[in-house]
Amino acid sequence: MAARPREIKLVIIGDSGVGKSSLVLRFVTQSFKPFSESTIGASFMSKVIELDGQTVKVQIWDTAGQEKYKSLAPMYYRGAAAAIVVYDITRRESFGTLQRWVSELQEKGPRDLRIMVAGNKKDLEGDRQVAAEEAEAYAESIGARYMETSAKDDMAVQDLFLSLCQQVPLVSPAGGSAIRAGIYLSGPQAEGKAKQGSRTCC
Amino acid sequence: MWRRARDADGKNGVAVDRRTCNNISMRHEKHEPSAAEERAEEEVLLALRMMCQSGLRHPLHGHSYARYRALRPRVCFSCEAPVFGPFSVACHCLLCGIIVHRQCVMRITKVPCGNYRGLHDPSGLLSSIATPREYVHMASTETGPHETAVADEKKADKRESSVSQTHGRAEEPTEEKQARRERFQKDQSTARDGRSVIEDKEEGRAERIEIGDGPEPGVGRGTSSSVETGLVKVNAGARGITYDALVQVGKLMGNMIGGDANEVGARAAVASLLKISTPEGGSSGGKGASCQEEDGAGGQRYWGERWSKTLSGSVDMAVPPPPVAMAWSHLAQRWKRSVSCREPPMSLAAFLELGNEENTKERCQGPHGKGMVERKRVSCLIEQILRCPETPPGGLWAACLDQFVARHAATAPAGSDGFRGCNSSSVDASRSGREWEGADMPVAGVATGSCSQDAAAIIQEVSLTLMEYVPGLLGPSMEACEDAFVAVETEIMTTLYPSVLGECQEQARSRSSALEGWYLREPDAREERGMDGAGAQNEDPFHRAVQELVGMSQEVTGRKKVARVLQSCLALGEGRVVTSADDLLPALAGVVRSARIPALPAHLAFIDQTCDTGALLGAEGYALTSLQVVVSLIVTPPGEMSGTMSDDEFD
Repeated sequence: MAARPREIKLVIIGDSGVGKSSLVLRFVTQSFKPFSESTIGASFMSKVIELDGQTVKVQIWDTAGQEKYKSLAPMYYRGAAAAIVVYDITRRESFGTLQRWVSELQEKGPRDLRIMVAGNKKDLEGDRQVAAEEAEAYAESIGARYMETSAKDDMAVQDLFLSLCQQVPLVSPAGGSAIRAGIYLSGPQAEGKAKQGSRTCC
Repeated sequence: MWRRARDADGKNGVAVDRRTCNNISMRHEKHEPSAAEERAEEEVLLALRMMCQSGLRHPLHGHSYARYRALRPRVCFSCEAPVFGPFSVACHCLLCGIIVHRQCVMRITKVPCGNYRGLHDPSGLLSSIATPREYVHMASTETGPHETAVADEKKADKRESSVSQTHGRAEEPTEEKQARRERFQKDQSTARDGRSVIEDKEEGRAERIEIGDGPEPGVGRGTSSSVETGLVKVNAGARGITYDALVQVGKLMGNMIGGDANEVGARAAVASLLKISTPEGGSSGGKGASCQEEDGAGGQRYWGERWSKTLSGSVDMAVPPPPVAMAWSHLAQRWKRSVSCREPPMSLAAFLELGNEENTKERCQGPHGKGMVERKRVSCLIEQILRCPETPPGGLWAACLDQFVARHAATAPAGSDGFRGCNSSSVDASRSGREWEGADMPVAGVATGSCSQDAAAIIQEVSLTLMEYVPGLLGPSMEACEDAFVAVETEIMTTLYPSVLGECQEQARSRSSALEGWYLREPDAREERGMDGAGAQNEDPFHRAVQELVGMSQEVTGRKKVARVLQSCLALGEGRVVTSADDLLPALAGVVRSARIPALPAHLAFIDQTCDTGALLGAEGYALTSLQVVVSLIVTPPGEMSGTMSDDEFD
């Protein structure tokens, strides 16, 4: 029987200052102010959620948005099951950057990666520079879903994370333990290779 | 190189050429192994080559080799000769990071993987150990035939290379070496027990150097490293022009590969270019160089004649086809400016402003980095030239060379031209009268400081351009072309190597200290972040993080290592040194720097091999990934990673 993976790795990607960390904080701690214990400087967090009666642990990997780290971002994608690509609806250029993030994600990320496009800072409706329709059309073109959120006013944040986790494909326990199958998105071959490689180690 | 080749055989051009090619790659192969040994080595190399090609790892003496494309100067672990250029045939061990020539792989049997205390890291960033060669000396129990062979070779080479040695410069490497040796000795005495053995070895080494230097006192003293032997030295006064020449050569080489690769001609052109770039007789007032100069000029003429013979009839030099002309005018503009003005050579930024404005605008918009745009531009130009249907394939390289020569002649001081033999059919250049050496170099007053920086950037640029461009062109036949290409490339790269390597090291050092400084420079910021709370003075989270990381290197199993990495990151988080993902990487870089763990990449590789890192979805995985990112940030020079980083961004 196919089941949900018990652990989901979720990557948050987006330009600097679009509110990635705020979104995560809002989702995890239900607060807007940065506060959390035993996380790596608020950049890594996890939350246990319930999906269809099953508990799932969502591991949220926040990434540095600065451009200089961009070339190293693929290291963070490894093994991710879902990604939220965030842009700021009041900043046009962050939407442009988002498109590059997405294309890179599709190129270098895992194959089965589920992507969600999130337009953050919906509370600043007056300063809007990117129309919702445009973003929606774009999201559709890349096979992703689109949502507008506000970390400040807690608009659709829970929804964003939950619906994304809902999309994560089920894994069949036949391919090993649920966790393993959920991680090795590149298939059993990759696993075999990894094992082979470890034998060559000195 | 070409000079030597000519001496050996002036009649058969092809044979000479082949020989010169081999000469370069076989430099380090002097110890003449027995037939059986040779065969065994061949087999291993073949296997290795296949492995490298197919992207698989091949375990050998505990090392896990993979193909290595050197985008900046490196030294071979075994022979200490440069490994350079995207086509250089070298391997690196994925675990301990040593870099070796493919033909040197068999030599490092005595340095098993992981046994080498410091990482083979020429930038000196992650380890402070002396040269790998010295380590090999320590590790080996006897002075192998290889060592003496090198000494012999030095002797032989010195005669040739003495041309460009000025006495002031010659002293430096020896002193440097001495200092390094002392440092190494100190290092070793604290770290190892076999003190007496070490001293013996040191003596052996000193002796060896004397053998190399002894027979010819006064001439070319200080040819202390095989890196510098037998090469046309880059003269300080001529640097600017050399680097520009290099850029041109890079482009030309691109063309050569695309068209009918006429290696003889290519080599001649390269030799000519190098010759022009190093006016030993001119600005530097090189002593005792006259006979070599004559020899050189003769060689040049010889190759020039051969070259023009090859060319004749294949292409009409005077009228290049329009698209080619257009592309070349871009390149020529550059060349003109850098040669004719008495300004410092053009920086990459300046190059950016030239030509192709429309394309640039579009690509520049994103912060994708200038390096990318730059390479695209060069690619575009090369492509334009290559794709032009009017260009006869055989004459492509010829056309390019001639264009280059023509532009050069037009901008150089009237009447001076070094290409006398090379371009008999060129309209512009045929005006030439004198030898280049006598002419006043247009870049005599160039500031050398920025030069070598530019040079490193340009070399990288050329490498990347070639790498990016060539595969698309050649497809499956690439491997075949590479070997031919290596010879040409090696010559150019090797010439520039000594001057560039130092600069690279310097850059790496300053970059790392900049990273380190991030933390040290901002004590106020740290306090703002809540570090001045109770007990913060006693238990600085930063230092705790450093300690954890040091502890990581002492753990034995991968799992425990990972746990320590996590603890290190958590320390940063708990102390509120880090408050968001954007802060984590710089802070961690500071930790890595302060921890000074030798062979940190090797530890990471070990973790990667022994742990199922893909399964680490939680905090451990995040901490580990962050550490990996930081290490790649430190180890990889700016620009090498998709051109998205530059030095100033670290501040």
